[in-house]
Amino acid sequence: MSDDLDELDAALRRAMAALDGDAPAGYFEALPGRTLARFEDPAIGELPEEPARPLRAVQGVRPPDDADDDAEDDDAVFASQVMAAVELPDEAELSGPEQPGTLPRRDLASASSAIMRAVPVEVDGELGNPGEIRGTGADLGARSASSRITVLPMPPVEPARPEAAAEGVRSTSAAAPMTEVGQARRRRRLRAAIMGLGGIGLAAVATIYLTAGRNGTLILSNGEPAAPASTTAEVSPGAGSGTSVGAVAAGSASSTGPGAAAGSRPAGSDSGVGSAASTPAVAGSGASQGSGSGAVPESLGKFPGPLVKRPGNVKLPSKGRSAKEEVKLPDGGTGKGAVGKKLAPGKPRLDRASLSGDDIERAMTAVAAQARACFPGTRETVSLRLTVVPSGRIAQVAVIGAFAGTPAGACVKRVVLGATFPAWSGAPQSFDYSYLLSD
Amino acid sequence: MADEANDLDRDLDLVLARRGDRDAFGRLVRRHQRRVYAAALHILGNHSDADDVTQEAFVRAYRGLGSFDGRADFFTWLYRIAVNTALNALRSGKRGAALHQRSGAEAAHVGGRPEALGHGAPSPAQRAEHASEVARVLAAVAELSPGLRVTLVLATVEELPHKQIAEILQIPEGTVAWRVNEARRLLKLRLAMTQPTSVAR
Repeated sequence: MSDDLDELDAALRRAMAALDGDAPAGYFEALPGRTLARFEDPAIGELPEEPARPLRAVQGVRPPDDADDDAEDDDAVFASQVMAAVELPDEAELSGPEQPGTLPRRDLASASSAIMRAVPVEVDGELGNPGEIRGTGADLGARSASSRITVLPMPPVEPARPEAAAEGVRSTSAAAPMTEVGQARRRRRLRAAIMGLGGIGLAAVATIYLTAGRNGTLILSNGEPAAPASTTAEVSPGAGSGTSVGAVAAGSASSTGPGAAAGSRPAGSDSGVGSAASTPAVAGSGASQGSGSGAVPESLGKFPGPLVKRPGNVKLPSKGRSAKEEVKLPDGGTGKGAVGKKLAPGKPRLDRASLSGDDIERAMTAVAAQARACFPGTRETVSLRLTVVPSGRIAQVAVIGAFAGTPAGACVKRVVLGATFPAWSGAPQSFDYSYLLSD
Repeated sequence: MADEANDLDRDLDLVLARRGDRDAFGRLVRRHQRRVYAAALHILGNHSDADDVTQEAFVRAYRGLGSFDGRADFFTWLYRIAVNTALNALRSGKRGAALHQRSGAEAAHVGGRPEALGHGAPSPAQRAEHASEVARVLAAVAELSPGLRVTLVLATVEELPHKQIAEILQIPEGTVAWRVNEARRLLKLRLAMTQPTSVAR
């Protein structure tokens, strides 16, 4: 055995030695000069301080008309327009050298900072009077300085349309445009939620009925990968009554949305965390609220039916256990009560005006393990730019920096498209996020 | 005494280079280029890619000199940049296929060089056999995943200790050992599958 290995190593060394002659004559004499010549390029030779470069006319991008029911994906289009309008300094594409204990994030961060400094933005996601500047990017930059998240500014909201007032929409304060937008969006989401419940909720109830034993246990059945985010049935531990909240997805599936993208993931890559709908019945957005995706173990990702969101100390089936697994309710309740009551349609949670850093961190951390699996090997950092629409759906993910256009970057992008964010009532948000990938 | 002087020169070049002295950095390039190039060549398998990676590694090193804190040896730091640049190039999928595509004729050419065959004038049969072995080994190495390939090259060809490989690749030593074993196992398997059949005379 040892001889075999020695022979193998020797063969390998002989082969590599044969390669050593590949360098043309005079190569090493010329290499220092050629390398130094590259430094004549100012982008390489110096470590420039990125100038605060003004953005192209972000203000020229119109926010979506939420009163228009036919334009359900306007949010995504709007977000794409904003992303297209944001011009990154070229230096953002460069990353510093990898060094133990440090992250090559400086270029990206400084590039982002340049944008932040350059553009007036609304602070705290509050939208005030049309055109009113409530702060600058530096404000947000300071707030996000301790985080890996760099919040990109969004354009100001346009003034309220006169016809909106004519329709009787209340417009009594300076924040009236935002109120109208929010109400229109809420109405739209409520409709979508109710319609979604017609299919998803019915399927969820039917499955719970079918799988609930009379002894008060819920049985999860195995099957094809599905979307836990859009089929999660939240079981209230106290009263033992079920309320479908997770199923209240906001909006419809778009072919460019995360649902479609995640659904096309190669087999084996799904772990059920934040993956979006893979069946027409649950083709709502993959951005349901309260999906609890981070807590769902990998094995649960294979269950097609309604997943019982872990309430408190419910024991979830571990890997390797039977496909049919009984999950006892924490209150020792019968479970009959839980399924005996009709599932009430949940209301979309729009108690947020914007995504907080914690929301972003939570959603991104939920898929971090999968993202790391894209890059077994050395310690690397992959940087992403995301745009999330208020429904919580990811409208756009771009891998920026060294991994742009690489298979690893594409893998991370696929994974991240499965992340779910809570819905909010403000404008689309863009931010940068970096994963440190390592074994 | 001479070693101390060399160390001083090296340190001085490093200090000067960090202050933006390109000539000093040029001396650093000259001092380390062969090993950096060799590592890149052994990982990537062809001169063109190795040249790109070598230059890229030096450019990255120059840009990052300000953040080099001197706690690690400069060469180790530089080597790490080079290996990771090569690894990224491999993983990008744009490179690394070169080993695969190395034609039999080309393999015969490199394998047929007298210096690759050791001392003495090899017979034509020996040259042919050696070229065939080189081609088979390179093809088998090319089929390894980038992580396995780099680890195997560093351990077997560059003969770095596992601890240093672990530092360079920023992975645990246990992972290095596993990768080396796994790479050897796969390599052996693939070489066995492509073993040329001997013709009885």
